[in-house]
Amino acid sequence: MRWEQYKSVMERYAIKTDDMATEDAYFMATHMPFSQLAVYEGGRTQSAPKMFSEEEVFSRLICNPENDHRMIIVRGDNGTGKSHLIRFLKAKLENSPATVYNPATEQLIFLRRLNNSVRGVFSQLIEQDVIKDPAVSQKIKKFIDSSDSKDEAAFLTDILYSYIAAVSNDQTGDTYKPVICRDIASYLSDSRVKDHLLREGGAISRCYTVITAPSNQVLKTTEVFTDEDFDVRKIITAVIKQGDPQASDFASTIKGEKDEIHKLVNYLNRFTSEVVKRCADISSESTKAVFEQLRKDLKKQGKNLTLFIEDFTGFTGIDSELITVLSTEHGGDYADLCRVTSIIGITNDYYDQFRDNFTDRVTHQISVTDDSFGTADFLTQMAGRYINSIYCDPEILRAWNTQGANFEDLPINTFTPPCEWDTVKIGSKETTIYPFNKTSIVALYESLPVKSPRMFLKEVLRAQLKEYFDGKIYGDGWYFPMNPANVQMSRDPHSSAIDRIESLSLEDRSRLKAIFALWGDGSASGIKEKDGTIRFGGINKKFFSDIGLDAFEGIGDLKIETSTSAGGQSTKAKEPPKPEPPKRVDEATKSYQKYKDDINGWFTKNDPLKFDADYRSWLRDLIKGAATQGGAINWQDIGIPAYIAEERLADLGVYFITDQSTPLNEEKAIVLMDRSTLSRDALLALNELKYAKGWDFEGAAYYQQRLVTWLESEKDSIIERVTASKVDGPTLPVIEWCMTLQYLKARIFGCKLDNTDNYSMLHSLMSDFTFKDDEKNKRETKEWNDLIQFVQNRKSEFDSARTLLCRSVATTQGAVHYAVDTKSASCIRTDELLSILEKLKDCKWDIESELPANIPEKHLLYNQAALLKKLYPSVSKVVLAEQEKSKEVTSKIEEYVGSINEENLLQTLNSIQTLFSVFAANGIIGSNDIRTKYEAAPIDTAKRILKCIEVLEKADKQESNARKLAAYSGNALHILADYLRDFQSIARMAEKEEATAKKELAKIGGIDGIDELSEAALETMKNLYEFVEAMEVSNVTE
Amino acid sequence: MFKTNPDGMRMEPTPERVLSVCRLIAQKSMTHEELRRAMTLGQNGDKEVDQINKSIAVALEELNIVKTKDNQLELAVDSQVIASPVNFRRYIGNTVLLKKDTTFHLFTKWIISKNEDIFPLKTWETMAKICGSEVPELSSMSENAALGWRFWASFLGFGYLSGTMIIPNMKIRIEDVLATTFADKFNYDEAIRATDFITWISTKMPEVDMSGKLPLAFSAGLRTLHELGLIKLETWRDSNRIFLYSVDGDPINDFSHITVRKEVAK
Repeated sequence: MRWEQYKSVMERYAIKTDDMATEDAYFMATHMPFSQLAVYEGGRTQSAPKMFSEEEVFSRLICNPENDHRMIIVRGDNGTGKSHLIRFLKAKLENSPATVYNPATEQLIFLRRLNNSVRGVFSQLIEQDVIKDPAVSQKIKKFIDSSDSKDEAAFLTDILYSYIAAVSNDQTGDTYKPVICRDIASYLSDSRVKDHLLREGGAISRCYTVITAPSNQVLKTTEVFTDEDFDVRKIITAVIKQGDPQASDFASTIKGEKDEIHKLVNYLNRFTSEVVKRCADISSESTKAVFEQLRKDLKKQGKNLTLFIEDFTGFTGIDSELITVLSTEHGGDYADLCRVTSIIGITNDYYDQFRDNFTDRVTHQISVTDDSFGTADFLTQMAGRYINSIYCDPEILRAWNTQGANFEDLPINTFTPPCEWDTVKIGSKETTIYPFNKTSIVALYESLPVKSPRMFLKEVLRAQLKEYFDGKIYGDGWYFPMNPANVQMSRDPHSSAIDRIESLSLEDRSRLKAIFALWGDGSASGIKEKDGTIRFGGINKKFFSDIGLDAFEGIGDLKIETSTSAGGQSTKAKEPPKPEPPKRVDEATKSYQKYKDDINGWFTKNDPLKFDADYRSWLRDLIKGAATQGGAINWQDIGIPAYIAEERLADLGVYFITDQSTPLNEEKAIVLMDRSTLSRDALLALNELKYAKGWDFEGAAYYQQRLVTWLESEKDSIIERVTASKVDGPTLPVIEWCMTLQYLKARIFGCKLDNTDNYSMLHSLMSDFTFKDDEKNKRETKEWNDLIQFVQNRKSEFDSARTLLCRSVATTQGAVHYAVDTKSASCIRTDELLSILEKLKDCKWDIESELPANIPEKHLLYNQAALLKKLYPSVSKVVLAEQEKSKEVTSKIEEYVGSINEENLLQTLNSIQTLFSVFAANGIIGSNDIRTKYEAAPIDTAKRILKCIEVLEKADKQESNARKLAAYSGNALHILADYLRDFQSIARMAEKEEATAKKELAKIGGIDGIDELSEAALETMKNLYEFVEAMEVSNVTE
Repeated sequence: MFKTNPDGMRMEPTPERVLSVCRLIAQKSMTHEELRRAMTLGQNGDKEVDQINKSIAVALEELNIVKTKDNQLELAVDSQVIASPVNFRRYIGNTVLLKKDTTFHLFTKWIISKNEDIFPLKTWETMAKICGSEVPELSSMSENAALGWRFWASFLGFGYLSGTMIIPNMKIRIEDVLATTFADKFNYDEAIRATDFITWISTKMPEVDMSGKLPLAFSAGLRTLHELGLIKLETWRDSNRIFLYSVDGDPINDFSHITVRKEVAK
């Protein structure tokens, strides 16, 4: 029952959302005296302030026995306690003896922040009977009623049209010429613009809130319009195209012009006050009249006025009039006005904006700053008072208030914490702050994004207590304590160890970490004191049991305390650390903290990892090593070529961390890091390593342990991705593919491979083969030329394969990065090369059928297979073409020599030599090249032709296309084809010369006296003809 | 690398090179000269030849994996020993590492005994210097010797290279021993007393002083194997406990029983 009561008291009385709605008993029971209020005289702040306590402020400024005119501004940021101070001053005045406050001579008016709108302000003025003029009163009542009943849409439209009217009627020319003002009015009247301005959350809706709706949000009233209301390209373009001419003209001036839009926004905001008054149907004169009349009436009654305005923001539209009337000093020309002491709460922003209105009128400023409330003492005192009021019986508290709320008599609760616990002194009495301790109060306050008493109350005390009470009421599903700012334990290894306690739920692990981070000393170390008390991280074990964490047994061994603590102080929770003077934080430390926060946010709050590029480079250094240092995996020693490790792991894109900010393709990742405790610890370890520039830091052994465990848990999968092979399976035959490519390339280019022995062969296979476009390399088939072109077109791919072959079989000493250094000399793993060479020889260099069916694109280790897959079919085509061409050439040579054998060849070659002799004898000039070629001994030429025939026949018999290609590579076909071309050429010459001879014979037959000569010539020609016949020239068809 | 002290522990004969030498000889017996020609493919550069000569010396004189017969180098062990880097490593771990008079052993033992004290030593030179001043037998220990040692130390599983340091963690070394000889004495998947385990394994790892609290490198190795599920460390009530090197935050700082999973032998 009592937990329900505590919760109810807290929510209904002690910590309400709006502290001004708090009933007096709780307000007084929880009031925290301000001790450091900066008080300035006048409206400026150039001179140094005097520091007053709230009592001094009251006695010196609020008490006003001399009836001085005072306009006191209470300034501060949102939530700093302005309202609280004003309410306290008001309550103090009300409860003062008649010598200080006499209701018969002093009219006290208090305008609260509730219903923070013009309507709210007027309602309070009516309620407190401030408005004496019946006509004005009637008018205001009408406005209040109408804003209650009026349709919101209609009200919004009224507001918009009020702005349009104000702009349309602006003849001042201050910002825009009147003609432009009419254009603007026209633009604002465009249906598209209107709809946008009337949207929910838009400018007009904001203005509506100012006028009618209660709002806790403090609005800078001049900022009804913002740039977003007009900076909408689509709308501007539509108005330019389809709007009426005036609207279109104006739209053109603001299109893409941010400055013009800003100018328009500022211009429209100037009309807000006028629009508010117009919509509320209250004129400046009537507003002024309300307060003037009040002062006159009070004067007549012999009374003065003390006016407390909690929040001036609600007076939008009538603010300047109110200031004018409140700042008018009584006496002299204004002898009919009563004295007024006004205490006005106002935010710093608002004050700065209307400084001109205030500066010369304000008599005093009280500045509420964080100096007034930010100290540890203040916070624990404040928490103590609120917690006390929650644990107290409401009736007892009310009775105390009724009896004058004497601070020394403040009732103290009877709540008993489960163990000894921190207390605070309120006056002369002590009260518990359970379930908070002093450390947690300061830590939770410091973790607030906006540090103010209001935020501390709402976000710390109320939010945490609600969870504590709910936990006690419902018994399970504990959420206390919460750690919204994700404050981390200072002892990271302990935090990590908690994350590894699988017997606890994730929620309980978070709660434990929150306790140690916010309540404790940042660690989870356990200690057993001499009296048997067990503490974890400095917190009594009973506290853990009280909030459902009794299963927690601490991290590491429980230390046994042997020494006796003086004065029993050790039984108390640790005092909050005294704030140290701010240290200068260097860039490295900032980065270290930045990374740590990022990693913890990623792990605990599922935030995306912001600095993943840095973490991925750390992982690269760990796994691959740096330029001159080896990594944690000794790649080359475990059988993975250093070159492959270096090439595969060099690009940061292959490192992927779950939920990293950098968009990367996870499927291409080689090193994957999931979001887990182990990964978090590994990243933290690398952060520590980076920061300490080595392993010499506290907790290094722990982080090493976690890092190595992460690495070992991922090692096999990293290796598998680096090598594209299963750890226990066969490795990808990358070197085999590279060697085959080199072999085929050499063959295609007609380059020689030294086959003396295996070492020579391996050595020549590692050469950089280039194609020499010379006579020797002229190919007889288009297919072969195409294949040469194919290889030349893929130069970079073939070059990569050669580099991969050469670099990956070289041994590497130290960092794998050295493997890419072409200058480093290193012996070769020839054992591996030899095995591959033997295998390739066995399979006649034909591994087409062994190539993988599915080959990933652009993959360092698969590129060679992909190339081979394209190359092998072309090789087959070439071989086929060469075979056919060989047959054709052979067959044509047979047409000249008959069956190709030594005897026939010698006969033919001898005949050729004879023919060239006849030509020479008869002065016939044939081809010198051919004649020279056939001057050699016919037997040599015959043997050469026979050798070529033998090579081609051998090629035909090879078992694989690769071997056939190798046989054809020597270009025997070309040599043979050359002979064929020679024979054809010689035959053509002989035919030509025969025809010439016949013609010459005919001529000679008609001339006398040359018979002898003719005889000899005829004989020669006859021989020649016979030779030609023998060569079956007549059958040759070109 | 594994010579009787003193040994310069040169860097050139890396595990990769020594294994390659052994494997080449396994394919075909050959002379030194042939081997040099083979491993340089006839290029015979000074640097490469030096690498090969030193690697031959390690394989021949220190590891005894190859031997000379009629001026020919030939394999002296079962070819399975060099079938994979893991086999090669485990063979060395169960043979040469048992020798206590090598510089490698002395230096390894010193590093392991230093625990966290090696963390502030940021260079191998400092490490060699300090070791030289602390271990009389290693008074002439050089930076180069330490640099050479690190390749084999990381290969044989004494730790993980990290920048200019080694992270002491004997996960691989312990795993190798458990994979090869554990079953000779105990059964896999059965909890055995920590004291029995330590008595047994101390004979397999003379480089680790197991007489008191276990050193960091060995403890870290056990912890990693435990976290990977390859062994299970437990503390049973009323049983004698073996204390691991205490690491703040680590859930396991002692154990009374250990279960070695069969998976470790894979």
